[in-house]
Amino acid sequence: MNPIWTIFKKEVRDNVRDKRSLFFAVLYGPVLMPLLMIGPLLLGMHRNSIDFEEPKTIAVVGVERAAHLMQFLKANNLDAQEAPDDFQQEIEAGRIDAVLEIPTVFDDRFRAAQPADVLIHYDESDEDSRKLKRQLTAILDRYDRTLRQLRFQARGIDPRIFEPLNVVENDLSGEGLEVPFIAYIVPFLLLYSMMMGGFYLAVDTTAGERERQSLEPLLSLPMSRISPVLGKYAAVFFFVILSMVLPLITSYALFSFLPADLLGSGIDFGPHTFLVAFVLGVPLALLITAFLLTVAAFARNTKEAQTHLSLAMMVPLVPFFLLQFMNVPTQTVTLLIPIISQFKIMEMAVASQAIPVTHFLLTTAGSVLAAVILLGATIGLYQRERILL
Amino acid sequence: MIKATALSKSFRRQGSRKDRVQAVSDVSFEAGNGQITGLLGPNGAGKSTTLRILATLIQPDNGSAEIDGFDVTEAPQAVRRQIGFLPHNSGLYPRLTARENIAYYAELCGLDARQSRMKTGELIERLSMRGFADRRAEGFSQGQRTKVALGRALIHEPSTLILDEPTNGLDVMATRQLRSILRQLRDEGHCILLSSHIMQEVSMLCDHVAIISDGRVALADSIDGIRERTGQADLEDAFVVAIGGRLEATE
Repeated sequence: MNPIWTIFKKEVRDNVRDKRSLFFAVLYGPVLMPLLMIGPLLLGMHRNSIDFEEPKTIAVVGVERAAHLMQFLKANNLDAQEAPDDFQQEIEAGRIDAVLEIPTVFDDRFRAAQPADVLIHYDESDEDSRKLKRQLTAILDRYDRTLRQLRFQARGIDPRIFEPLNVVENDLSGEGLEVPFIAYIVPFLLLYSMMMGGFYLAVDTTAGERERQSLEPLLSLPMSRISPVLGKYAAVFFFVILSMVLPLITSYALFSFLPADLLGSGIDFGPHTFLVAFVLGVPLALLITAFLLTVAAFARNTKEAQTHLSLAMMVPLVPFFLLQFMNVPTQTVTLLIPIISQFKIMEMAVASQAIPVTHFLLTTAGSVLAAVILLGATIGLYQRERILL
Repeated sequence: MIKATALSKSFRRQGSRKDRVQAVSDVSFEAGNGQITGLLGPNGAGKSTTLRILATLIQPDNGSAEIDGFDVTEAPQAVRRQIGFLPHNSGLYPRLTARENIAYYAELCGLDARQSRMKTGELIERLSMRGFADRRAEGFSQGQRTKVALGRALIHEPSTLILDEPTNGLDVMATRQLRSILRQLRDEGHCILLSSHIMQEVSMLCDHVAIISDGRVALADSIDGIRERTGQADLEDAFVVAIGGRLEATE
């Protein structure tokens, strides 16, 4: 049997029995992190958004005083119902969100083309009440505009006279389309999850093996010293890729709860974007694995490995913070730089831009090259007797 | 068959660039097949370093060593096929069972799944490990750990066994059991080299002894030969004389 495969199997089995390794690989990154990072964000968006399509009822005082307005409300998914007499207490108690009051003089003033009052009773401190009030205001605004135009036309006046300016905005920023912070959240999440998922395995298979003194007999076996490094690499990679794919699925599920129009036009969090994230994630996983393994292998014991890794883990996170306040252009050079390139391409995917195949080739080449260099350093270390001292 | 000639090895002192410690300066001895050879010496004499050179884990600065005719620096892979190595601390994987620990090495040595299962089962019987074969190594006693490590070292049927302080930490019964296993292996024709700092251990088990002190082999001979050459009937006295000590001073 191939020793690399044997070592891979053993390390995976060994670490599946370690609850800590398993927790970080299948629970922390894949489930807890997406819920903690994306959950509140989506929930916040959900709460602030108003679904104008969803039919709701609105309590109205004096339904019969403004039949036309009631029809307009109904056409906009607000069904008028007569409000109870004690509606003020009901609003305070939170049992009714908002009440539209049509005063008795409404019809007279309306017919006389005088400004006719309508009152909105609501509770500013209550979120649902605020939302219904916003929805009501928006619909009444539209009603107001329609009526104004009709009245001008009835008197033979062009309503456009009252619009001296027509401002047209022409955004020439092109590629630099402002992609919200949310575009970085998925690659950041994957990056962090991969590092946490491979962390304990990297430490356990390298520094841990040295500390337990099981490396000496292992290296006295008749096999090439490259095999243990590659076997361990494969095992860590398995955990890392698991910590990439699982949170990808979780975040996709979370984003699919979001109404499509909420993120704004041109923002894509559909299957295509997540497919791009996966394609970008595989070479990144190769690199993260090599990075974790190398840092841990050069440490003398597990404690040192954990300290070094905790500090080293900030390195892959630096590009994320840099991109927050630096304008990095998307060029051949930047696309070769691991992590920066993945973030830039994700930005394009989220902004629904077409991504050239060369972009994928460049980011893969850069990450794989870096992974090979790091892995080479570890293989070199295992050839030297320093690994046993 | 082990043949070490004028081995020397120095290490860099921890935390210093130039300062070096001479762990082994002149080690020469032979260990024959069908014999148990003891490397006897006080702590820090260079026993472990010598065994690690023989196990191809580290390379000597000078001198050479051969196992069954293969040079440890020139043909390390061939040497590794000839040896089973039991390190100072048995070095088991705590989350694997005894059986899994042994089977892991079987597969690494190129046995297929069926052969590995068979050989592992045989060794479990032979080393009386049946009672704890399928328990995880985490809570094993020192005796149980040594047995598993020995089984692991024997899995590829090596001609030569290199054991670093194998009786360390074993209780009386475990020690006796280990001795009888080692004698059996010797009688089958294996070349067995073990290190120890316990005189009694060596005199009871070994046919041949190399006394090592301050990185040099001071004397190498059969137990009787050492008694004769130092003129001491007691092996402990013979040891003190061999490493250049004075008997009165140590009494």
